[in-house]
Amino acid sequence: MIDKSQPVLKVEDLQVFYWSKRGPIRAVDGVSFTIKRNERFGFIGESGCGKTTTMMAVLRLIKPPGKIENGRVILDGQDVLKMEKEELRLTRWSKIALVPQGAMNSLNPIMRITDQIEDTIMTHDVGATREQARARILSLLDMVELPERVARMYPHELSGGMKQRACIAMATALEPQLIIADEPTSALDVVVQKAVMQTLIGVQERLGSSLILIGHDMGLTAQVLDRIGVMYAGKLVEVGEVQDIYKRPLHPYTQALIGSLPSLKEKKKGGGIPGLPPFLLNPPAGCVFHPRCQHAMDVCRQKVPVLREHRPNQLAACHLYEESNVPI
Amino acid sequence: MSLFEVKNLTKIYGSGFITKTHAAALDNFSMLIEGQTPQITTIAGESGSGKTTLANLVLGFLSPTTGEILYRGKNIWKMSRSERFTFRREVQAIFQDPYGTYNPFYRVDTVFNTVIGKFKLAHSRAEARKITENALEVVGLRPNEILGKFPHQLSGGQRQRIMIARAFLLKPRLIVADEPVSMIDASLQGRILDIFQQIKADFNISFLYITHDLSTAYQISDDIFVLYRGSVMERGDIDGIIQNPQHPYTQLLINSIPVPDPDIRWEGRLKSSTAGKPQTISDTGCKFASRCPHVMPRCVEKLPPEYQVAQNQFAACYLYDSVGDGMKAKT
Repeated sequence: MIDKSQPVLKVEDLQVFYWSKRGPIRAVDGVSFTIKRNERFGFIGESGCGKTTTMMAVLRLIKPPGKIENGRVILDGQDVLKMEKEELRLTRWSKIALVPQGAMNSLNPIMRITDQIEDTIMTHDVGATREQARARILSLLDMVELPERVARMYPHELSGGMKQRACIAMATALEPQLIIADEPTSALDVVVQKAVMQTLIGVQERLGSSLILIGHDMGLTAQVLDRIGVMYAGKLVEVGEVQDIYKRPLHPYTQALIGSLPSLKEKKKGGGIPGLPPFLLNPPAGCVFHPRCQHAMDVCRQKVPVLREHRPNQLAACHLYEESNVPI
Repeated sequence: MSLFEVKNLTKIYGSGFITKTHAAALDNFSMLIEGQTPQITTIAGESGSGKTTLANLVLGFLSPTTGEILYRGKNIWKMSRSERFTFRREVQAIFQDPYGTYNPFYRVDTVFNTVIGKFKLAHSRAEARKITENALEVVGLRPNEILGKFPHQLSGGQRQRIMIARAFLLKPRLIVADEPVSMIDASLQGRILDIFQQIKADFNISFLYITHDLSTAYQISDDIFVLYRGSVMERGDIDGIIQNPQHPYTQLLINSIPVPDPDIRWEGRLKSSTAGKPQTISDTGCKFASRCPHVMPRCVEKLPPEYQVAQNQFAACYLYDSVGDGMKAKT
């Protein structure tokens, strides 16, 4: 069954291209990472950097003109990319579940909450009776701190926060080992956001699952995550523990991103990173960040840096830290 | 004469066909922008607080149920044709969605040419081009990279800066910016906000900055109004309110903001009862009473007046009844 010593997810050299008339747009280009058991991992980066595409590829939900070109996605010892259709269908929800972006709009408007969750359970858990499913739904609602009456309600009767909780209940109905949450609270008010986020984490801890959180809210990620992967232009440029990423970032992009955050503690001037992310039809040669990087050297324009451990448990893809180059 | 004044503004929306129900989206709101020295005033609130209703009222897109909006001393609903024309030129708006504000079939030049034509800002094509280029440079864009492009060829940040350039072109005295950076990546938000501060200082333009995001408000504003369900909970100097919030609602709001620092993690677990469920709001008392941890019997009976809690800080909360002189600012 579940081998606890194995990582829950191991992604190796994942490449996803979107095919346009002018050639491939390299949305995700050689991304590798590992998600440990019970850990909360997050992807951060500007919009269009490939966070959502990476996760969609892990779930094999990429639609044409997008295509997974290369890579391995090992979920609990099995390669998702090599699964047969039926096996894939059973794996989704039961082993890996998604709380999609704008999840509150993904509920079916003409079905009661209980029927929607029941659907999920019945199509995956062949042995369950209706009564068992109903009982499980009530305990799920309780787990996401929704009152029982919500089961009989339609989505339009619920507030944004309640809909988001219902989606979390649905995603966790089959106790998946890995929950992927794509901007789960971005449409909610801050007070509700905090409550929903705490619920999501409560559920994750109770199930002993791992959580991947995609978000561009750097405040939120700092609050809840264990480790962070920073993406830029389809590449993973830094991976590390949340403390290291925020306090001692290695990659110049991470440094600029952390430095540009508005804060309630101090007033800053001149925030932001100069320039724009590259267009991924023909990304710059060498390091993708070099046109915007303050520390760009000759080698950065020629050679693609490799994601490597430069401090314990902190990986960065940057020539500044390679031994052959002068460190700063 | 003050530049801009809002007096006891109330907007009530009615709904329902047979049994009319009424909801006050904005309740007895007053504010003043002097205009001698430019200032950035933040209207902060969550969804449903009435902040966008206020923006639409201020811009004259909605008519108030009661109350007045005075621009240069004149009620904007009682202006003559020429006064209204001046108002339309001097009060400009920037909206949330930098994608939806453009017609995808037209080049972005149209945005500038339309306003230049409408307000007759130039006598020739060359002159029009020159003032457009100048406005783009003020917001940090290179005209030759922007003009002639279609909206889809530009990034969200570029589009929003074009909107600022368009507003700036008209030499306004007041810019109403409704969530101008909420759809912009964090790495670019800072630069948009810098442009606001720069044109405020260099060109004497005041801003009404409408947002749900207190951290960006703190970066740029001079003063702030915190709205909750149409009523002002706390108002005053931004530094005082962010550093030392007095109203329980402002305190809850500030404590809920995720700090981008893993050393300072959220304190206190919020129960879901404080979130997401429809609130029963008392018609008579404080609108925050049903969620307030310090609620007292009189909070639900009578609307609390504003109490002065610091030099330039006012909270509408009975907790401060005995503090200070308990001045009554509003009826």
